[in-house]
Amino acid sequence: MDEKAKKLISEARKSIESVMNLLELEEIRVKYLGKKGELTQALRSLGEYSEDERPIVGRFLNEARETVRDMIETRRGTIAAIELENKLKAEDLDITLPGKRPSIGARHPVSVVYEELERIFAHLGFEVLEGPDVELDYNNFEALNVPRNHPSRDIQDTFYITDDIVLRTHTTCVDTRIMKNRKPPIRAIIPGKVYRSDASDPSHLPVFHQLDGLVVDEGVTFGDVKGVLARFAHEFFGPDTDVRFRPSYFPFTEPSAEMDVSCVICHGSGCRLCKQTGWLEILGSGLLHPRVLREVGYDPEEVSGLAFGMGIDRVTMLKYGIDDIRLLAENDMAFNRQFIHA
Amino acid sequence: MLVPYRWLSQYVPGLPPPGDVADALTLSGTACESLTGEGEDAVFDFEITHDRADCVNIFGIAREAAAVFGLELKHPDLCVNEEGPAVDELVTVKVISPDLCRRYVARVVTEVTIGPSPEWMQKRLIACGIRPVNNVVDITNYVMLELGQPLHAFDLDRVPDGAIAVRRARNGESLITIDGELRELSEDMLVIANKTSPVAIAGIMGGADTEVEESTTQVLLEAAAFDSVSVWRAQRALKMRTEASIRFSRGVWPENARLGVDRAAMLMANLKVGKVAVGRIDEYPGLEAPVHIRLRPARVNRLLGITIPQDEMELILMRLGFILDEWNQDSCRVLVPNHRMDVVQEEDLVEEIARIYGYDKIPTTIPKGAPPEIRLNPERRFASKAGEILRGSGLTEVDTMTFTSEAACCELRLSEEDIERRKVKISNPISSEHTMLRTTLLVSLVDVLRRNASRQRDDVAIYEIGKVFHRRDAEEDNKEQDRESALPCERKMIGLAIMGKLTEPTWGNQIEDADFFHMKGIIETLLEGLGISRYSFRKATHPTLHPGRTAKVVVDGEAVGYFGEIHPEVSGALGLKKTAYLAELDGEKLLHSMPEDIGVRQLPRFPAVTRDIAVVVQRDVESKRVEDRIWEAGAGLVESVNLFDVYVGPQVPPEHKSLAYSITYRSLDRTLTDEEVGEVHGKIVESLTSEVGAIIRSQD
Ligand SMILES: [Zn+2]
Repeated sequence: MDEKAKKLISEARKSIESVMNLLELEEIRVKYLGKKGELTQALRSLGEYSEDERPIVGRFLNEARETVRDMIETRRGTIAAIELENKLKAEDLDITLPGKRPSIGARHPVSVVYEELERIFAHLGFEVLEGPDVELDYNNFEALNVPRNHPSRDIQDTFYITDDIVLRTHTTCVDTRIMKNRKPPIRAIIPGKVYRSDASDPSHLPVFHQLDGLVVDEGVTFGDVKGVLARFAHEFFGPDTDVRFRPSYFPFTEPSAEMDVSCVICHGSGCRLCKQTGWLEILGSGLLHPRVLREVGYDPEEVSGLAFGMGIDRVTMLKYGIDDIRLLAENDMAFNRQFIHA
Repeated sequence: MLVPYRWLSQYVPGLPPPGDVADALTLSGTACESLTGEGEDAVFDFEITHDRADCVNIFGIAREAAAVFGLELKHPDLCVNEEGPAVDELVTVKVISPDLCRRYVARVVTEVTIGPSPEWMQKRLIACGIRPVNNVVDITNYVMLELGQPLHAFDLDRVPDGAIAVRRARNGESLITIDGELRELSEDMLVIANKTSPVAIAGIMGGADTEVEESTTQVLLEAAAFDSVSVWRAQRALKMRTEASIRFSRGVWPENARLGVDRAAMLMANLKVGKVAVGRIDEYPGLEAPVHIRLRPARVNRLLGITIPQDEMELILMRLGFILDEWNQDSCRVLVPNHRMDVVQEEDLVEEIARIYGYDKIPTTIPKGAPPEIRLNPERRFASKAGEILRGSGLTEVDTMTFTSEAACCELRLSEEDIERRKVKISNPISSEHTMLRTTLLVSLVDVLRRNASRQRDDVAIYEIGKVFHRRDAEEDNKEQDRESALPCERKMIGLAIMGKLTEPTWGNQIEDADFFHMKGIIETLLEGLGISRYSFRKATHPTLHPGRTAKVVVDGEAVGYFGEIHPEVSGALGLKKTAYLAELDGEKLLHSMPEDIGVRQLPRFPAVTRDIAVVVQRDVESKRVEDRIWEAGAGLVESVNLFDVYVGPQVPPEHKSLAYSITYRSLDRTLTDEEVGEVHGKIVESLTSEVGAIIRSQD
């Protein structure tokens, strides 16, 4: 008996392990464990054994049943896993087909640059203030030490609305408004559109963008002008950027300085962009002219101030390698949508 | 300004090579724009800042170079070989308008032989961009380039009795200038006149009649200090810009007139152009005391943020021609040289010291005081948030010029009367497309649509956050004091435009062109994203939009904007291939409607029950009316109402539509029973039937 059962179990193991699908496995189950299965039959024919043998054989056959059942269940799990895997494999996708995208809009490069500048100057404690585009001649010129009917008006070609009202030629005109409404300490940057009666060409537009800066406090120095602007240049153009300051002239600052940064293309060795000088003119700056301070009711002996102003379109063009300013105003989707990741 | 190196180095012996000069002058404020040629033949192109009128000449640059390099400055030879009669026997000069002429200096050259100037002089003129004419004219130009003093040479034989008057033009007077043009003169222009009529427009151009010619035998050389503002205005009025008028407009200093006339006379004599009469005419009504400034070295250092020793400051200023005296404990008196018209106060000296000392040697610092309490700008935050939401909805930002024109506004079907009433007109436009400021963002947005459509880009979704401008209504009582009230009203608006497909069509994904409800959905998303929940839409009209497909957006009972389908006429005029939808929302109103904080509601703890209902109503019943009834009859148990289908077709009677809603019921404090839900649902059905005449098509 022992031999026969062992053989039965080993046969069953062999066929269970070789079976590859659930249908055949079921056939095997029926063959051994079904109503007419071999083990079931064997159990039924226990009567053929003697009283003494019967419990031993019975226990043995029951154990064999259990063993075969376990083997079948284990195998069933394995086959199910394999079948699922095969089924899923058959459901595979061409994952190189294009994705179904929700659409996303792009930002205008000028506003990308504005936001970056606002962030840089926020770290230095500057708040953002704005003023009107249509401005009193007084705020745009007279309060900034550019008298009426004066040859110095030739510096900026101006759009007039009336004799007293202009389209602002710089956002510096907001300085006057801020200083008249506040007491030092003041640290502000002023973004906005500005206007000059220039015809459009690759480097001019009649409407463009500026960012002005203003600091007024006791003891503001020319060294602070350099420090604030060098910090900006390093954050914006990269830490390896060289900066230089040259004396210049603006009616509302004294001393005045122009800031150059090392050329973004050639890094100083000279190229077409920098006209072989290795330097790019970026902004004008200086200490506020005492006449400007007096005009807003400050005492130049008590407080001093610094001011700077830069053209944002130019800075944007340098940052992204744009060679024609008109692209910034055209809003051709093929251009604007290149800034999706900016 | 072009400056030949060879000419420059004549006044500064030992001048370093051109490259070094260019660098050093650039860093001290005389920017070298370009340097062409090599060695002795090099030519600089300097850009002179507007304040430095004294530098618009070779000698002025030499003065700068000498100061920067600490070299000796060699002055031009002014020793005139005089012979013949005294000048006042030949001419008389009367300055009748001393307010416009601070000084008038003249010399006379007799026995003149007109011919070419020497080759070296012609070469220098050409190098500086001036065409040689004859010896007399060339010498006047040469001296102007050399010293910055404009000179004029008159044919003295053409001036009766040699009588010269410097006076304002009389109304109605005119003059044919050297260029052959007839110039109408006015009272605010200064002229040089003979006994009866003008012979030159002071500081701008001489008259043809007294022009030096082959036949000229006597020349009157004029060097004057005319008022810069008056020459500037005359130059603008006459639309004439000459080498002389440019220099007079920037400013000349009276001392230079004598140097200029002597230098020219010296050259006339030495180059044998003629005999220089003895002496010079010198009318100097505008003699002013020299400028003195008190300088406090401590203040210089305080403003610069550095410690420059006092003796170094002294040295720098002396090299620039300033004279320092009257020292006391902490200050001294500084005498400003007469050519430095730009230096009038202590701060100007601060710049002089700093620029020669070297801007690069001043340490870089960060402002010391504590930064002021920073106030976040709510408008910037609003704009950045709105932009984020709109980009998330697929719209790309545009930035357009704020200009437009009446014609462009008319194209949008805006009424001429309305444009006229609101427009801010530019008084000196440079283009017929830019004659006024925009009164609506639509005009800029459609311009972008048009440009893109013309380049085969017909699927466009854009937004702009920008200003529009309206003239303020003329107030009845003119408040003279308040100049601000004359400024136009500026508002920041959010403009939206969509046209064509909003997303790229891909495989297995049918994408339709955007319609009215896409635009409405974008606006709803924007409002929700800004935290504005109390909004509604009402039918409206707008001249640019389709009369049946336009809505206004209402927040808290106030209209904050409008949107709709572009009027087919406008679309046709613009040449758009696909239908565009436009919107304009008032950014300031939206900003003020935004909630300050987010209040978090408790999460629901009891289950919800959803019931669907489809009702048939007449076509003109607005779905909003049906929805409002549902909410009202829902007795506070309705959590959400979602319109999931709108059907028009054979299943419903003509002129009717079916609206299918999914209504979610929930209570915050208990689990709703079927009976409770049934009761509320029944009330809703009843209300819809009785109040909007709905027929219930189906319900579950
Ligand atoms: Zn370069």
